[in-house]
Amino acid sequence: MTPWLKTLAACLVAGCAGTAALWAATESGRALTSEGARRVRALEAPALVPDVVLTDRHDQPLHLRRGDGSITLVEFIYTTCPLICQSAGAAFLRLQGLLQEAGLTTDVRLLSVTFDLERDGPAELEVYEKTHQADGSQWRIVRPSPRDLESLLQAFGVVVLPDPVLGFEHNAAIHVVSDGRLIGIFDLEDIDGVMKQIAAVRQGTT
Amino acid sequence: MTQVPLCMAAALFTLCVILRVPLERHMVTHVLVLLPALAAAGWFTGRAIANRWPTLRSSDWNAAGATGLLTVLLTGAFWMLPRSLDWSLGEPLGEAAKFVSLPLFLGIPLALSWRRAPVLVRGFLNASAISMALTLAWVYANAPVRLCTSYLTGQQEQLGEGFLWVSVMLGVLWTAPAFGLRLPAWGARQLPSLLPRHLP
Repeated sequence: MTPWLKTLAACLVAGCAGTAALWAATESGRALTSEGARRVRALEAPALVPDVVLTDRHDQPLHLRRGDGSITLVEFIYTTCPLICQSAGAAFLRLQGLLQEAGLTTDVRLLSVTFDLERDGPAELEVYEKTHQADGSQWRIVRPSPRDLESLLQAFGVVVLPDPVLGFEHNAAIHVVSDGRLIGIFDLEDIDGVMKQIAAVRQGTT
Repeated sequence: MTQVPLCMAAALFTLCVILRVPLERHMVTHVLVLLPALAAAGWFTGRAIANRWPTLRSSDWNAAGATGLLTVLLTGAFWMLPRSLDWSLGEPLGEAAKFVSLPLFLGIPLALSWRRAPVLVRGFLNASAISMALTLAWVYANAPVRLCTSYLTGQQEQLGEGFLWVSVMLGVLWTAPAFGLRLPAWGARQLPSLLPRHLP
């Protein structure tokens, strides 16, 4: 073999190995970030969320998983958040309105889950509920027990970083949970996407 | 002649291992110090290998340095993905992959291949590196979302600024010879005279 043929063969091997690594690292060319990969995975291989018990501001327990075919929309928040959780609240307010218009008050529920267990007690949850006009039945502001917080965030792929100015930074999104599985993750602005997936799930079950 | 580069490589790699945690705490030092240092450890290893086994420098399997430079580019592309950074921070396997692949698949092949590549190819790669650094500067400084979930938005913007300085520095470094300036020699000659004379 001439040097050029040998080099061509070696390049092919290196090229294939490298491309395979890049292909795997980008979820087949669809995600450059871990946030993108998290969303692709939710759509393709929906993972079970942990069966944790959350409590609302009246200390009433509710299960994250429900086996009745209903859909739960989940947002992770902290009530002292100045920016992104406020738009998270605005997104849920719009969804609450749209769902009520569509007559989906019992089949779809909305949960704003705080991860700031040190500061967010029942009183803070109530303030958040009032300021964002959550109706308190379809849309509830809840907190997990400290024991469950880590596994809950991990299951959803939410990373919370302490921030000296804002308190926290986290990857905020609207998570769609159906039959105990995380089946979709959407941008806070993508209300249409959420409504479409809700429609698709309901078409599949009825 | 083998010992000097090998010692440099060992020292750099050991430093990377020791300073891993503090360097990874900030996005800028992670990307602009730790990753290049790991690659540099590989580069020194590559120099040592070339000195010890000179035939490797003219290996038939790496004509014009093509195989090596392809490996360098692919490895570079992999570690340029924001997701790879998160992977290395979140999982021990990712961290191990970073510490192994950057020296092995970026530093070593670069040292064994760079001088074999035609001047035109080297110039093209240099120019691409500058424009890539500029692109990354723009992306990190202006991204509307966090690209790495492990780092704060503020650090991401600082990294964008950092890449801007990298592109400027590379631009100066690589265009200086065209104006008759040989930077290392020039720097070495000029530096003493730039220092205040009256210092003891």
